[in-house]
Amino acid sequence: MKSAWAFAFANLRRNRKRNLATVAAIAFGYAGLVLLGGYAVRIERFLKANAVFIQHANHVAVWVQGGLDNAAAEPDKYQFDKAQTDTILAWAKGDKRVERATRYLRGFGMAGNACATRPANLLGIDPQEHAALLQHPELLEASPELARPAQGQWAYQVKDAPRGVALAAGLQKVLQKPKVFDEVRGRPPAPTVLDCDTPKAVEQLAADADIQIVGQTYDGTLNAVDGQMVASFHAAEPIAEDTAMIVPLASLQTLYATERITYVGLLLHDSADAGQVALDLKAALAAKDMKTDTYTYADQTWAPYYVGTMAFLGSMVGFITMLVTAVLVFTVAGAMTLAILERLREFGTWRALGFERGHVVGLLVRESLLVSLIGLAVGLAIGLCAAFAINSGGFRFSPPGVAGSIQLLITPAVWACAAQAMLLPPGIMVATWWVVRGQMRKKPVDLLNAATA
Amino acid sequence: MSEVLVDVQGVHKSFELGMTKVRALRGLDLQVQAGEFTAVVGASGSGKSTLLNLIGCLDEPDEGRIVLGGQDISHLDDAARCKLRNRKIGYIFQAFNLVPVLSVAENVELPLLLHDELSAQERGERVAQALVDVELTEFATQFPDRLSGGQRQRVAIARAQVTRPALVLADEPTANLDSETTAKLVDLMVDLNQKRGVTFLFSTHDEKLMGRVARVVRIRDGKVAAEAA
Repeated sequence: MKSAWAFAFANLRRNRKRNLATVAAIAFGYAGLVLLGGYAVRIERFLKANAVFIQHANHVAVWVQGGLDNAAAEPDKYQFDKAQTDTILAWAKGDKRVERATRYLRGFGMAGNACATRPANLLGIDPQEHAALLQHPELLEASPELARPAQGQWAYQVKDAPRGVALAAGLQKVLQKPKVFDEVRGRPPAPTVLDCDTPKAVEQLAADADIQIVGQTYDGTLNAVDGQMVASFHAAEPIAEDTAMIVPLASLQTLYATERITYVGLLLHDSADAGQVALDLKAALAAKDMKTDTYTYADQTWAPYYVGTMAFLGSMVGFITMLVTAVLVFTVAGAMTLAILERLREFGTWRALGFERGHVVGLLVRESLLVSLIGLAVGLAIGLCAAFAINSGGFRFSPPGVAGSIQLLITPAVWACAAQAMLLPPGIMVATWWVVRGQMRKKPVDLLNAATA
Repeated sequence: MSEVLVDVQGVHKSFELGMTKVRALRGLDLQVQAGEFTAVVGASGSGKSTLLNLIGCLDEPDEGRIVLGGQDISHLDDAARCKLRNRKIGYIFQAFNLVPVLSVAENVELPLLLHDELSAQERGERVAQALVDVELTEFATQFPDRLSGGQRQRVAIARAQVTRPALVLADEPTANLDSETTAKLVDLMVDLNQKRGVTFLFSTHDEKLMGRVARVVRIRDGKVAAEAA
């Protein structure tokens, strides 16, 4: 005798066209969800890499307590001194979960071209530490395009420019420096005094990649350092496009006449440890009388662009998933209703032979479950093939903060496919149970005499 | 003297057909002895099928009492009715009512699946014997759509008696068959009745069958009109 499952499977052969249509509806619906989930996973990886490596959130960041809000106004009070920095670096070195630590100094200043100055938002980072971030496999896997400057090369790649700086493309434009260091190397330098008020100025400014950075030391003295513009880049936020500048940490510390840093970023071997590492670090520093705030890349206050975008994307994907699932559930419920109405006499026979209502309901629920599982399997195959085709198609688009375009990639994740697939069978089972239950309330004699049989 | 297997006492049954109330049975009384082979005869709409449905626990009477094997079955709950149908009653339907996706042997085995006390081997032996009884052993693995009408009804007979029920109910079992097949089928049921002692109660409007059965109960307007042995 066939098992209940085998019997349910055999019944699927009865109305092949209708069952095929139902399977196709589930398959294409689920394939759509696989693609949507794959797109969301890809975007999540991209945004996370952007936040962690490009916007320098790292997996965990540690600030002086209150520093995130106050360091800009009172840098002397809300930044780490040398000893505190060393304490943090020593803790990071001793923790196996930490891959590397990066020091950052943030500040304001003026960027000048010898004719004019513009406000600048300065980020100081050691070029070698910057190199480690930009060459990180997680970033390169997520999107190698993120690691490339819009023009030129990063400071760590230009050996003969010890004070190499990178400007946001908008700031580069307003400073009238169209060529980076590599492009003007070996050319005659611009005159010491430029003809700023004449048309010649444009040509003279473009002759070199020299930049002057002016700032106020922490004790209130005006100071300046020189830099060579080795690269330009696109800022993630349009408002930073005209002001952002990346400066070697040593240069920025010289400008502010300080050894202090603003925060330390920690890259972890596994980003899933971020929450615990943040807690442990905060506790360890507190034990050494250091009051700190620690943030993870998933903290809204520290990485608002990533967290906010993912929250929006998550709700959108969730809503569409629920919508598609509901449509598929009602599709299957409709098909099962037809199947049930056509087979009322058979169910009457089952009941006449002694089978209880639950037996018949169980049989039909099995049938609907099989339809949905077959549909899901086919849908997964279609979704994966479509993802492969899209990835092979080389479609490109330009997200903010990226030089040029990046490839549209769909990367379905096992957990996302499984989560979406797990929604459907219970919904279909409940819908089938609901439809069958109503019919099975009838007396066996009414089932046997059903007009639709 | 043999015992009374079925005792129908003053049974009434009505149906609503739109705005009309149809009184199918009007205080019907009937007794069937264990081992009897009884035909219920009557015109279309006389109440034959309603009577068999009530005796077979497929429906409930409005009034009156039905006793099967000493048990009042008039108003049992669904689980008890299911168990009774499975253990004590076999059904043969006019339209055969075989499950199309099951083979002949699987169709016959179907009611035995609820007999937890039987092993798979015991079920197989019972099925084999039932198929021998209806001479369909060589068709065991065939599906119903490959069989003739007479063969399908023989499968239904095998299914009806595979659980060794006290009573087999057959509602117009020959209505869809030609006269030659009908005669063979009735002979088969009579043979099973005599060999195995199975009590048969079947409805028909075919007067030609009257000579082949031991007892004929004639129903008219929802009551027993006449009896003949």
